[in-house]
Amino acid sequence: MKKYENVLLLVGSPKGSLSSSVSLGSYLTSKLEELGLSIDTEYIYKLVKKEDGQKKLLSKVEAADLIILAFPLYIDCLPAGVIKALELIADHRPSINNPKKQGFVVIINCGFPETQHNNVAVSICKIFAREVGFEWKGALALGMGAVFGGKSLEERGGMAKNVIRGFDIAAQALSESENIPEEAIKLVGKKFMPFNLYIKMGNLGWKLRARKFGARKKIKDQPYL
Amino acid sequence: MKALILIGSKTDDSESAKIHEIVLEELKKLNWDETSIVLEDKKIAYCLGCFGCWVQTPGECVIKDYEETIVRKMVHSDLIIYITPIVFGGYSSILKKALDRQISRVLPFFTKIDGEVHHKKRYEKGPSLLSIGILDKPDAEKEEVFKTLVARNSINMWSPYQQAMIYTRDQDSLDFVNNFNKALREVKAIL
Repeated sequence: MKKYENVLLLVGSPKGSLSSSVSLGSYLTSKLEELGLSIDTEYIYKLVKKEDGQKKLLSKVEAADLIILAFPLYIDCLPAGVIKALELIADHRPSINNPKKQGFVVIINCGFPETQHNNVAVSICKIFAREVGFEWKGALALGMGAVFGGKSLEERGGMAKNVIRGFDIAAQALSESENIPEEAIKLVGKKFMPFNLYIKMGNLGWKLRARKFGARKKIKDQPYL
Repeated sequence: MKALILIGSKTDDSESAKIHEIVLEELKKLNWDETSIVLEDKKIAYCLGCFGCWVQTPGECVIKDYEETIVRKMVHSDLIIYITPIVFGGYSSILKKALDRQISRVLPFFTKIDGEVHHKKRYEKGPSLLSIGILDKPDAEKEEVFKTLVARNSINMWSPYQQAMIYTRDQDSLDFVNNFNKALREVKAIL
C-alpha cells in the first residue's frame, strides 16, 4: 500500500487551540511529522459557519492522504459543528472524479471518566467513513479528557503516560499506512486515576470555577421554573 | 400535558413534514398541548463549549438567542419529540445544534447511575423523549446506533421514558401511527 504523505488534523472543538482535542491531536501529528509526514491543521468551527470556509474545508480534505478528526464528546455524540462538517464532506464526495484512497482516524475525548461513553460517536464516525469511502484506520477514545485542556501531553507528565505510549504506537502504524493496533487503543482508553478521585476533583473544580464568576451560591439555580 | 416537537430536518423535506402531520394528529387525539419548532428557521448559535451555563450564569446559556426559548420550553414540557433524518446513525447537524446547548438542564456535578458516571439533574422533573429518525432505506447498523444514542441521551438528560422510532421513507405509515400512539399512551401512563 502507498504510504501516506499529507496528514490533515481537523480539530472539532469550538474551543480551538485551548481544547483537549488540540492537545491530543497535535501530539499524534507531531509524532507523524517526526516520522516524515507533512501536517496541516484546521479548526472545524472556524470553517463550517461560512461558505468560503466550507469550500476550504472540502479542498483540504480532498488533498489529504490521512484525515485525523479530533473532537470532544457532546451529549453522547459528535458536536453539531463536526456533524455539519461530515455532512458537507459526504455531500461533496459524489462530485469528485476517481477519489484517491484516504485514511480516516478519530480521536475522541469525553469529560466522564469512563471511555465507553464514546462508543456511539465511534460507531457514527465508522458509518461516515464507510459512506464516503474513507478507509477506517481506527479510533483513539478516552475518558477524563478535560485534564488536558490545550496543554501538551508531556506537560501532564505521568498521568498521560499510557496515552503517550498509545499515540506513539498509533503514529508508527499510521506512518506505515497500517490500522491503529488494538494495543494502542487499549492504552489510550485506560483510566488516568481512580474514578472516585476524578469525581471528587471534578466536583470541586466546578465549584472553584463558579466562584471565579461569583456564581458559587447560584450553581444549582433553576432559572426557568 | 405539554409536548415540544423539535424538527431537525431541512424545511423542504416532504417526508419529515408528513411525519410531523401524523405526530400532530396523534397528539391532538390524546389531548396534548404541543409546540413545534422548525429549527432550520431559527437563529441558533453553536455551543461554545465554555461551560458558562454551569459556572457563570448557572442554568442559562451565555449566548442569548432562540435557544433560550427552546431550553425554557424543554423544562416546562412533559415530552420532547425529535424529528430528524438519521445522519450516519445519529442526528442531523440542525437538530444537534439545538441539543448541544441544552446542557444547562443538568448540573455540572457528577453522580452515578447504574454504576456509570453522569451529571446530576438540575430540575426535579425531566421530560420523556421520543425520537423519530428518518431513513432513506432500511439499515440495521444505523438503526441500532440511533436507538443506542437516544437511550444514552435519555440517561444523561434524565428522561423518565424514552423511545427511538425509525421511519423509512415510503413505508406504510399505519404501523408508524400505531407505534407512535402506543408510545404516547406509555408516556401518559407515567405522568
